[in-house]
Amino acid sequence: MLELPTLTRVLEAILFLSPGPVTAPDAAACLGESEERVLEALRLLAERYSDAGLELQRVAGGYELVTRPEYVQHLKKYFSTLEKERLSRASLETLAIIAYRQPVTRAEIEAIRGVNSSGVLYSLLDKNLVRISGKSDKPGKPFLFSTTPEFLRFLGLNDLADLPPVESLQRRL
Amino acid sequence: MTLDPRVEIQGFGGTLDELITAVRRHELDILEILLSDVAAQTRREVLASDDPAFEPFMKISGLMFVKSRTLLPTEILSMEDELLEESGEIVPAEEPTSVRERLEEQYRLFSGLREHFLELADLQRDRLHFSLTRQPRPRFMDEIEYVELVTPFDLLAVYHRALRRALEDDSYRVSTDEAHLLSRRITEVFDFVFQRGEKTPFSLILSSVRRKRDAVLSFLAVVFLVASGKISARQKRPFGEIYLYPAPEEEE
Repeated sequence: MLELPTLTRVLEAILFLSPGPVTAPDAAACLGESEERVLEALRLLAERYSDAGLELQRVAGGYELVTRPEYVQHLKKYFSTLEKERLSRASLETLAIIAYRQPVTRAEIEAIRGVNSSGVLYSLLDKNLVRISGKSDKPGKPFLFSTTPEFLRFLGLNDLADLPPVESLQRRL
Repeated sequence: MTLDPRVEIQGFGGTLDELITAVRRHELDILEILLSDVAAQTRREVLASDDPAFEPFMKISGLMFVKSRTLLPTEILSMEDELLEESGEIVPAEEPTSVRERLEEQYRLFSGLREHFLELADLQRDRLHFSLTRQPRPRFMDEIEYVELVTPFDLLAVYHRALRRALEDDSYRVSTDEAHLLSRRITEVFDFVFQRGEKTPFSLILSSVRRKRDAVLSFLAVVFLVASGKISARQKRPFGEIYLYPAPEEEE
């Protein structure tokens, strides 16, 4: 069993190198520690980063080291060649429908959007933002689509409950 | 006791059964039929029948009647109201919302969410250097533990993605040791089918398989061989046995 300060530093190193969120159970299993100790170490790490350019973000059920949002403008200046990759408006719209109505069939998505959405769906499947999560009992047994953990990471959310409630959006609209 | 109510609507006069048959044969356009008018006429006949067996049907049809009216566009409702006023079947004068209006309302909501998602995604991209195209590709067939967690839908989605990439990009290849495993299985399946020289049931290929991973590999190997035209597959009925033939396909 590692000393807590050492465990904290090891976790920091793992988080630094990890290409995606690190979950407490995975880290605990890998390091032979209890989940409680890992969570305690992560809490210490979050405290340490409270006055830094980075912070520990809870995302998609795990933890990830990210830059602080207040410094994004400076990052943009430095990384001027940063790839400006965005989803199309159609993709974002479809993603929003799936996020709030999941599991949802393609026909239901198309009924709301009023246009054929198969191309957009393939694109979202390809980007691993949505997945086929089952089949509906409706006639024809159409596929049901749901979001993936990658979708949560894409938006910086910890879980689907972090999505803004539809009622508040309706008021805003 | 059977009851086949008579219906009189614009362009049609006959029993309910005849109306349904005409719609099914596309002799009448269902979109042109005022269903609440049909429901109202049917209700009247059922009420007149005085049979207690129809009571639950009455209640359900009453619900359907109200619901069908709430979904109708305003202009159709006003036409119907004229017809229904005479029979006293007028539904409370709430502001009706058509299906189209409801869908448009939802569309506006999700269009608004689109902008919200864009803000979140932009921020996350800048904070994390998050890139959709630089994400590690989904691993498939690479770990026994992973395969055990796989559902048929995951497999289908992964296979679909892999196939799309393979079609779009010649340089795309399954990397690491798993490519070797798959490649070896493809050769094994190909040799097996050719050495038999006759139709080979797919179940025979799976008969020696002991692990889920090998079953998946066998399936993908067959799909690859069929897609590349090296063997052909034939299935007489859905869920029936799949027979593999040394290409080209042979007639039985």
